Amino acid sequence: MTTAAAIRPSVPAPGDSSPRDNGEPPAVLRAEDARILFIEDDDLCVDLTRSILVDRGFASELTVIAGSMAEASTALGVGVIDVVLADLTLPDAYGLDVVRRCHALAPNVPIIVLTGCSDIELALEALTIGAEDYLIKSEFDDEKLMRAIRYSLARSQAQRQLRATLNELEASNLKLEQSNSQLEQYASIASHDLRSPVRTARVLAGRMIASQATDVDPVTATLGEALEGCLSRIETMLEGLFEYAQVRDLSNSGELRDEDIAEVTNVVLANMEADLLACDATVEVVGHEFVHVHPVLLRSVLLNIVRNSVKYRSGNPLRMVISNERLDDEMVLVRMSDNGIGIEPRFRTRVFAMFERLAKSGEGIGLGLTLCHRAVSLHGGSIWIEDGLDGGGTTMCFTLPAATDSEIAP
Amino acid sequence: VNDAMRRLLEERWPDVREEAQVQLDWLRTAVATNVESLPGGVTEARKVAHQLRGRFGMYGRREASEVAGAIEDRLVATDPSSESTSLEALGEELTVLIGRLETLLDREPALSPTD
Repeated sequence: MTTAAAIRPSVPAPGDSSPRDNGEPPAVLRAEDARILFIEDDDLCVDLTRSILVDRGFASELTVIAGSMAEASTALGVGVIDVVLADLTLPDAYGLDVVRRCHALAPNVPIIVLTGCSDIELALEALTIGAEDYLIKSEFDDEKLMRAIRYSLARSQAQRQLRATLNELEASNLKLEQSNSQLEQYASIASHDLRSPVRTARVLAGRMIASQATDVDPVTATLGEALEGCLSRIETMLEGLFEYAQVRDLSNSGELRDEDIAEVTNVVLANMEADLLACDATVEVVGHEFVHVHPVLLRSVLLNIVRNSVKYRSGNPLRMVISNERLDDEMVLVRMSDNGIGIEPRFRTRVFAMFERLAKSGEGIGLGLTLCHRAVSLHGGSIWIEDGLDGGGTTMCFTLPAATDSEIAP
Repeated sequence: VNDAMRRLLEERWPDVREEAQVQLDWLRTAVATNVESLPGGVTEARKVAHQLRGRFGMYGRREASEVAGAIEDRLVATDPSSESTSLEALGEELTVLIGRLETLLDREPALSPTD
């Protein structure tokens, strides 16, 4: 005798004409347009289910019956299925293997299990590996089946739309990234090429003033000095822009290495020794964490922040505490506190914007913290500002990836 | 179950019952002659019981589905190769369950009491 009733598969052949020849479902899928793949080897169950589907408005000709996993694979390979209704006991596949194979063949097509297996663990696992719903034949309810199919179709459409939006977003991001990269290249080339003529103009302006030192009229002298100041400022801005434009290239250069923050900090402080002595500074360096960074960028970040502390100090001798500590398994937190004039909380985000300067006077051009933000972000870290020392001042906090070699870490 | 569904189930039930009767006859013979001696043995008997369980459930015969499920579960728990398995006790148990199923099938077409 035959325990599994004869099956009558109606698997579509590739190229079958269909209301949706492009294979893409319409934005709103109606029941009568839904293509259901019913994987079931018991033709009495197939007949009943098909009758229910037709009764509820699903098109009989769009319901594909597969009596085995092999037939189901063919149907899914054609790629015009909107929802799969699958039994778990097939002649050539059993249990969760059915769900896994359907999911592998059509990861975006919802799968509803309709089975005689009432094992709750099996049901949960089926849902975990990608089934949308799990219906038990011994508790069969046509309303539940219809609800499961309609909800699955709705969820599937929503997910499809979400994927489309994400794809668009990714494409836009890519374009933006390319555009930013081109702009940075342009900024890099322009700032590099302009530096030389600007420097020459500044030197020439200085010579012109010097050559007429004895009999120059006061107006010309004033204008000459203003011109020289202007050119000097342009030169500084071009250097800043050039440095900023280099950040991405450096971070992408693959030349990242493990650096001892304290050691790099001490080098930076040594380079700034004259400025620090001039403001009677005391600097305390705490911690010996290692970070995995581009060395030039780490130095640049530290240098910019120390420079700011010197530049924006209060009337008191400068005091700085530069500490580093492990934040978690992946990141190291660096805190650079000073007792300077501080930054009001409302400006603590703004200062990272390009050419943003809070002090109207001084030699800053508003690129230092922008560069720090860029360098830290490109390393996957964050940077922010907190209150500083002695009830004032500023603490620049930033995170960087911890060293990859665990033997280096203290 | 709405009227349309009830009509549909009643209309299809004779075919289901007829097919089920053939399968139950096979099961009864299998049990009577010792399950493991048949081609496919216990595995085939499990498949039949599983199919009946699902089919009766879909056709609204919950009680019959439960009894078929009990047969399936009993066969799943059976290892005929184990010396501790008493085929005689198993046979008696399955015969009782098959008898219950046949009694349920002999009833006039009616949906399960839960419906």
